[in-house]
Amino acid sequence: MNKGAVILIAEDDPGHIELVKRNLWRSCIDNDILHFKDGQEVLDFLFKKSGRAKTDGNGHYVLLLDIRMPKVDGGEVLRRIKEDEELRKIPIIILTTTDDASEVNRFYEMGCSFYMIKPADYTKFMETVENLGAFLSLEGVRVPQINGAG
Amino acid sequence: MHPVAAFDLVTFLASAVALIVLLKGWKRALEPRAKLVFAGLLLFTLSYGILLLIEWSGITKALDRAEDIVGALVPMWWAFVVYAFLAGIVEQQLLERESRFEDLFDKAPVGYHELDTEGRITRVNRTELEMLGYQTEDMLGKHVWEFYFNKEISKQAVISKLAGTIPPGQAFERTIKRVNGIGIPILIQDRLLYDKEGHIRGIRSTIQNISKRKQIEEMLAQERKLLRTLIDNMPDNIFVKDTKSRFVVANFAVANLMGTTPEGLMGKSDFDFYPHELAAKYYADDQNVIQTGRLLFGQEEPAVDPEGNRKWYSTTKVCLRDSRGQVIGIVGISRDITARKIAEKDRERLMKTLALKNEELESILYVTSHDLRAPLVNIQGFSKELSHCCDQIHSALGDKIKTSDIGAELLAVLNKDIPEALGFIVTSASKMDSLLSGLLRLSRLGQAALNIEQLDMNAMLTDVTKSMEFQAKEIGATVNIESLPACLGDASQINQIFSNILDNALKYLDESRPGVIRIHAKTENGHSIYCVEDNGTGIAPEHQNKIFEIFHRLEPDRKSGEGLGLTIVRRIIDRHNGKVWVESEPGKGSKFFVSLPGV
Amino acid sequence: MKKEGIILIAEDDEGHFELIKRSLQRAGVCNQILRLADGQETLDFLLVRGDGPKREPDKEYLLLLDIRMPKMDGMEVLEKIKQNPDLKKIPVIMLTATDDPRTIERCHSLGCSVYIVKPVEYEDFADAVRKVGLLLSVVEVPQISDAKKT
Repeated sequence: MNKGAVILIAEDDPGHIELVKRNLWRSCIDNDILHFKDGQEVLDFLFKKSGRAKTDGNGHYVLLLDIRMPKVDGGEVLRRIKEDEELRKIPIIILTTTDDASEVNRFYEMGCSFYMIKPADYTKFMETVENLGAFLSLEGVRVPQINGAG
Repeated sequence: MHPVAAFDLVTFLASAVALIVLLKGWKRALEPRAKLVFAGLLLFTLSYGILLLIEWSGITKALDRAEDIVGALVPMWWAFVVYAFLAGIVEQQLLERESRFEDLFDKAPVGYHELDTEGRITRVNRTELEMLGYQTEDMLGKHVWEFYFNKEISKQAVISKLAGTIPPGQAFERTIKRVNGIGIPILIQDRLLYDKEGHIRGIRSTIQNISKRKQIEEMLAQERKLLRTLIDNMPDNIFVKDTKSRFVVANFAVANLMGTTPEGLMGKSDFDFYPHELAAKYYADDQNVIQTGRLLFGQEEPAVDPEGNRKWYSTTKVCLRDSRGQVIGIVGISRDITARKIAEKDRERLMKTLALKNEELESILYVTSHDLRAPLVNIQGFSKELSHCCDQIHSALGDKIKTSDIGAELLAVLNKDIPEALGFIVTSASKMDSLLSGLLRLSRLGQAALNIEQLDMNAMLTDVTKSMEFQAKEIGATVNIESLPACLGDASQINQIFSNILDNALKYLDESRPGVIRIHAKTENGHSIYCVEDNGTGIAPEHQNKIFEIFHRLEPDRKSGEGLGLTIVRRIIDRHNGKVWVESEPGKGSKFFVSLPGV
Repeated sequence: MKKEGIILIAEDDEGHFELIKRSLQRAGVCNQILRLADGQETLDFLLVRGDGPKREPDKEYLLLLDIRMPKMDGMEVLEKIKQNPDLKKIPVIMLTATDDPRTIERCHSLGCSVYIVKPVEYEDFADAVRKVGLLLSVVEVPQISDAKKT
């Protein structure tokens, strides 16, 4: 990924966050990782409503999004981001426990980049996150710049 | 010959003929005066004949004078003879006519009798005699009321009629006695007979045997009574209205519903009893039937009883036509279906509630399964992280551990206790995950749409068996599929049923003998009943119901699986309105029966 | 991605296609890999029209798309795909030589899943494709059915 691109992770379970981070690091990701514990926080950040400053002036983001979150769930977050002309450029990867085929379809229809399942089996979990990390760490992968939603 | 002699000859011959004619006339004449005339003429003819003969014979001339005198009377005699001849013809005709009349009278299609001024029978015709079985002498001269059952009443009536105080004539009924004493009903019509001065001289009556008519009348009355009883007492409303929707006939049921009596309904319409819009609707229906001639069948409509309670009726209205085919009104039948309607509504409500509850349950199942998974990720994940940490500690300590005092203790903890504990944690988390997966699968089954089609079961079972070929070969089992009837169901789900059952069959084989699994079926009552029969270990009677329970496993230690196979089978079967059951004998084998709608 | 899923590669250079295919397979990808020679063929395939190969209903597809192609370029193909109600679900991975930020932004705006700049060096290219393969083995891909079915 572009140097300086920030990985946003929206995930309410602290354990999951920890596990994801660790496995991303194992796959040699060294980008900054920002964690949001519910949908509202992530939306506030992206729509510049909160006071939390963006760590990077460039504004290159990729978002790892869980579906089941309090306040505003993943589906709603995805929808709102894809509705915004500027923010829709952000690649969004759904990372969730739900493996229901109709949910997969629904999220692709709404415009997610990829849909990935967090297996309970930890070996598989590690493989999933590591592969994702390995992919994202490719220099060729480019995420666009976001000027921020107006 | 002398002209006078010729004339005498002719006269003589004529008188011979005249004799015959006169004799006939004398015999036939009934009237004494006529008889006298004929007798006189006969005498005259005879005497003249004799005189002529005497003259011709020349015996004596003394009587010549007498003959001349008598001869002078001959023209008059001719006149009389001709007259008598003609009279005879006329009388003949009169007699014929009279006998025809007599015939008519006697053999009339009705009985005739005539009474004199005292009420005695003066004439009675054959028909009447035959009707009653009497002879003429039995009836003639007797008082007519002797033959009637109500003697006194008859007597009074006849006497009054003869006296002119009551009019005769209109047909009335009496019962008359036959010769065997049995009474037959008759219809009588009287006419008064008058003499030349206008006084009543008698009565002429016609009588008709109306037994048959009376019988029919009786039968009709019986039928009508039966019909009326039926109509009156039927619990359904039965009514007849005229073309203006006014009641003409109504049974008790209708009257009760409208809060009145059947009589109270006559001539009234629905508008007199029901609220206006309801009555208007009934009226519109009536008029529609009357105008279009089409029947209104089983229409469910509301009604109101006298207490104001709302009721439901199923009403049928049909045109009533007269003998010319003109519509004269409608006939209606209405059945009280209030109870049924209430039951229907209740049932609808229950079904809705049930469906809602079901949905609720499904979604709870679904959501919890997913939500319960998330912590599992952590449990497993951090267990692994912990074991990594152990490895890190191990490598960090390196050789130092062997030399230190607490080394052995530490090693034990590091190498045995911690991994053991972690092992249990991971295994349990893993188990929980598979249980949740099972629950999820089960709940998905309930939600998945069913695509019902005709299924070729031979093809399907062959497929299923093929996919388990490897497994079967490994344990040395053979699967035989016999000819199977088709059924109706969702292909993938039915496939699942047989996969699960076969999987079980292969799992629970008896080690002491080669496994033989036989799949056969029969059709019964429109259902296709399939049977998977194995010669495995069998299932003890006390377990036979439990095997369908969720997560139940017969031999958890020795066999793998989550205990969901048969639960899933049952779920799918329930959705297909089929049946599944088992027959088994421990040590011999098991038979799993699946019943599905046939084709 | 399930093993029945089909990977579509829109690549006019046959040699390139072969390289990609082999790298994917080396990463353990055992899915069917289909080549679409140009933009037109790609669209025809997806829209089930024309004389060439056509997609089958109720199957999972994923598309690797190059921008520079004869007859119709990748951007147009991407646009058309993302406008179609049935096809918009298909994850599209841009694998192309351009690294122009505006192009990258536009592709993301149109709805591509991710944008990969083809590395110049073969080694890096093979590695990138391999990592794509690894990613594909852990992502979910939606089923494309026809509009009439739900």
